[in-house]
Amino acid sequence: MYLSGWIFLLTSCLTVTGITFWCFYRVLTLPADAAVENELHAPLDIETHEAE
Amino acid sequence: MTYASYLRPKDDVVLSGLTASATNEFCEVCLGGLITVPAAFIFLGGETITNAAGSSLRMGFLTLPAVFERMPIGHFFGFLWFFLLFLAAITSSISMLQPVIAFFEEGFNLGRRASVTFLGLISLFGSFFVVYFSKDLEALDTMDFWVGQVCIFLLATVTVIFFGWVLGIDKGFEEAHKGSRMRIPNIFRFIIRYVSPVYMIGIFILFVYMNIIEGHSEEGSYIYRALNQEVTQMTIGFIVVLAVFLTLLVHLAGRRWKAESNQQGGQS
Repeated sequence: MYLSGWIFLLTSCLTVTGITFWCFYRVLTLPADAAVENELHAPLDIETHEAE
Repeated sequence: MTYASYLRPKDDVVLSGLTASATNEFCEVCLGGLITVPAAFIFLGGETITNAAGSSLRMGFLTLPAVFERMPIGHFFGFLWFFLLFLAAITSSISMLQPVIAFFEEGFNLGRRASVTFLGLISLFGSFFVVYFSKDLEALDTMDFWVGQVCIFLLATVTVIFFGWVLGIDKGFEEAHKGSRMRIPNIFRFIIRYVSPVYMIGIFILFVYMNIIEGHSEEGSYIYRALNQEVTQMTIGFIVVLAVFLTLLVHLAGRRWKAESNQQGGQS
């Protein structure tokens, strides 16, 4: 593979992987009160009107 | 869009949206792409990659059976992979129907059962159409191209223009940042307002030029088929009728919402 191909491959994969794990870190280190308040919901908390 | 239907005004859309899209790209590009492309190159040769260019799905369907054929208990793993793919497809399809169900419920005050039945009938009609004209997958391929590639692109273009120019970038950013745990970098104001619309309209002009002006006489091209093949014309007609019908429903729901809000304003 050409050098430009390697650069393109590694840059795209490392960027996407970096952003993904940074996001996971941010979501998993949210303060506990934020998770309890409005930011995170378990599926059962969401009102879908399924039972109507 | 489905999951956004259930968000509250102060939910964090920025971090949630970025996490969801980054995870999707990680699985597609870093895991799926790095497995499929080298496997296609080794088992099927470079020519297959060139022929399947532009369709990751086609490459997956060509490559993975070749991989399963050469591995121990390949039939079992092949079954497992295609079964999981089927589950992923069917659950995604169901989740894609949800915004329309929510629209019927909120726009016309229908109950959930009535909304599901109504949408089920429309989906059933479309599915029968595809099954009935299944020879050479003509109807399915036409729908996949015009809806899955062309209309989705137009929808993205309209959305970005709406966000940047109609709603306004300042108001859009203000809405996005309500309750968000991270800021969108300011460079994206410029990108959303100028770069994205120009880029997408540019691609669309090139698409029109290459497919309609240059490629309309090429036998087998989508435009040639739309001009000459009866099933393709009927499929496009079906898409247009459905689009007009749904636009009409959106208009009626909008009028109903407006009348309701005027009534509430009059009462208060």
